[in-house]
Amino acid sequence: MAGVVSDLSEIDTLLFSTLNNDPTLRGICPDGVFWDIAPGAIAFVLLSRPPDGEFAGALDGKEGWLRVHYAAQAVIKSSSVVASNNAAFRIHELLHYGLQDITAGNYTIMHIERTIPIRYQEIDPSNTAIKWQHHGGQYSVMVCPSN
Amino acid sequence: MANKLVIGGLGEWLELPRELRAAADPVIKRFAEGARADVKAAYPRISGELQDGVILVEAPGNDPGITTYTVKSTAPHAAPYEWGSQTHGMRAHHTFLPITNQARHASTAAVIEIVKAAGFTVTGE
Repeated sequence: MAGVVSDLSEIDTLLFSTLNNDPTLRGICPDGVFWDIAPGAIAFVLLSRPPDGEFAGALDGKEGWLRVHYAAQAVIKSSSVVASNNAAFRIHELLHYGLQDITAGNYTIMHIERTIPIRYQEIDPSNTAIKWQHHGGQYSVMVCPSN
Repeated sequence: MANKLVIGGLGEWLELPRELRAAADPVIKRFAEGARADVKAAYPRISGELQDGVILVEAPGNDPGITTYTVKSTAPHAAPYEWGSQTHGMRAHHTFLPITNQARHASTAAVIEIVKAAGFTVTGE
């Protein structure tokens, strides 16, 4: 059943709101959470969903579970890695083994784990004194139908 | 950035006869080579650095008779391309990991078929 297309918008919303409404993370990334791109923001959490992420398994001939990937990373304009590291730690606290049994739309979260850490620095080509820290991880989210 | 296509590290795999490992090696290598080619094809060619930076590293494993195949994307901007760039206002182009993950899953499935064909029972697929 790999490649099944399902409506994952409620899971998108759950992850977005979990990160966006956390006061600790908001304190480090005051610009909030963005999908895919964040023009003008300088301290934020970037969420994106790789297109491959969807693998499904069947139970008794019906959709039994679904796995989808999300990349969640703090992006901070700074030459220091301290804030981005703290933000990534908080993202990890919120998502890794988190949100278990919470229902979002047609799905219930079974398991979330980080599969790959994300860490890199960008140097602005027009001004090498300006640096951006990217810090977070790619998370595998397993869900099952909630009804 | 690297995503290993490693089968030989599994303890169960080490218990298998040498012939089975030898049969699986070219299969794993073919998937790794395919993943390298697919990543190169999926990357855009602008300076060429991104495409040319995709390499396949073949190295002996920790145990005799085991070879590991690692596909790497070595360009400096491989990570910003994969996960987004704020300096270039560029969204993530999830490319390397989806392709290599797919190859890893497919190669594992292929090796399981080899093991089954040799008369073994495979559980936990």
